[in-house]
Amino acid sequence: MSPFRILICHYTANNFINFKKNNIMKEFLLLIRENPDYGTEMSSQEMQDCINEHIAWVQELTEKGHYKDANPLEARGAVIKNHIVTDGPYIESKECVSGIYFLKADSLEAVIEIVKGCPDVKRGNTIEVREMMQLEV
Amino acid sequence: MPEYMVTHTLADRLFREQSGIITAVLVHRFGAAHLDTVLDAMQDAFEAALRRWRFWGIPDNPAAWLMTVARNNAINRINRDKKRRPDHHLTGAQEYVTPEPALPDVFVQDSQLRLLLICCHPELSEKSRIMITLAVLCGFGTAEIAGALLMQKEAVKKSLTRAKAVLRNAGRLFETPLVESLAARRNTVHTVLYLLFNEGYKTTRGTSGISKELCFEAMRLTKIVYDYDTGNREAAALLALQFFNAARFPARMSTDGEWLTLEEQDRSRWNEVLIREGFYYLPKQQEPLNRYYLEALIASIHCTARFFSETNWPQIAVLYQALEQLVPASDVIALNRIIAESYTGTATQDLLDRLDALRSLVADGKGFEWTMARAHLLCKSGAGDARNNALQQALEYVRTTADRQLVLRKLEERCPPF
Repeated sequence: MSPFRILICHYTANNFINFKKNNIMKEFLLLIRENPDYGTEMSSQEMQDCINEHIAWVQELTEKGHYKDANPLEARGAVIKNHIVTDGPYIESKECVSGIYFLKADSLEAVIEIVKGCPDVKRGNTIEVREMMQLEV
Repeated sequence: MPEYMVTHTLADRLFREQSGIITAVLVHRFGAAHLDTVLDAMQDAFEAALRRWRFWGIPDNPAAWLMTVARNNAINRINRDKKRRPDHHLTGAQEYVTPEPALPDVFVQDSQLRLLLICCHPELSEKSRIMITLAVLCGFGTAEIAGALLMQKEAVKKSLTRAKAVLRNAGRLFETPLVESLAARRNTVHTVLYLLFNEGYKTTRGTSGISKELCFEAMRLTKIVYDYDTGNREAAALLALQFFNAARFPARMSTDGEWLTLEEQDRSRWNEVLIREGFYYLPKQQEPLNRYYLEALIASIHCTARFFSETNWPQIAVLYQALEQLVPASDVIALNRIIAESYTGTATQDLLDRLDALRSLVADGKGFEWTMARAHLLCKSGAGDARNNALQQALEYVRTTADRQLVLRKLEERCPPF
């Protein structure tokens, strides 16, 4: 077998493993809940530390293939119920959702372990984890 | 996720430095009367960054991002205020709405120097000058200032509020040429930077990083003063002194967080690059003599002794003597001179007598230094029991756990034979 051919075999095999791996991994939504005042009492250095801890965390998740996406949310929003629109989203609540993450993991247990390492948890924020349903059973 | 997600983290001390730069530049633009608005606008910009960058990573130029957002916030706030009070006399801000090219370094440095000069306002006490400098130029929060200066948070808060009120009315300093304002406050600025460094240096014994930050900030600001005021030898000597002292940081604490005396430090851990920087700035001669120069010379002698036993104590003693003549009321200098002379063969009893004459140091909050010096001399004179009593006494004056650990360790050790 020519070296070129070996290379192709290797490539296909690897792809197959990755494909299988991706298939097994489940997807999870993380809702980060925090006080709307979060950060107001922090010094510039504390804010910088907080950002750097997050970047390091995301970097680790990316390397291990757990990371899919993340986005912060504007504080501005609305709540619609029975055709009545109210300013939202945090009526009478001390915490509101400040951002979301999409992660990939083998199980809820595994993702819980990942979330325990999130800098937000260490700083007293609440994280809700929900497994996304999948189309195919 | 936006395109600009990058995986690297923020450069060390970027936020701290940027908060000082942003405050200085915006106060320069909008006037000291808008100080509170500028500080609020800056805080908002940092919070906006915190909210976004945790999820997205940092943009290509985080410093520029922060400056732009803070500036826009400030403009919005000032315009809102103006609408509320149409006859308001403060200068407006509309002209800065359009995006601008990157700020020239000279402008940024000048703005910081001007703000520093304002922080050295004659109506403020030495301590409040240090506190307000930390707050507006070094991005220190109230809790951080309290921790670094070993003060209560409430006291810091009150003092900052008062200082800001004074600063708001200092607007004219931005209108006078920088050369003139510097000439008027040069000595005060040097003193503040000298004290700022010392505050950090003495409390590095206490806790971890935060006090070291005081020293780094003092050095950064001194460098700004020096760069503008290049011909000034006093500024050069002050910078040299700071480099020599900073060079010894890595060796001042043991791995267990215990403070090590000059004699105990592992000198291979002294930072050679910083020592070389110190010699670079150290003026070759100084007429008339000033305290920074003499102290820098003393520090340079320590830095160049490979072993404690190689220290040129007679020269250090002479320099302390010169310092004493220059700053006659300073008992701390007199105390340091006594320590230096204890290594030059001066009769220990004479030194003990001279130390006794400095007993007022105890009432001045220097009880720890005084009792430790006494223990040192008693040890030299072979009076082991009296030395231990002095150490016990020192325990009453310890300010930090590292202070306490040092005394306890000394109590365990016996006096070395001389």
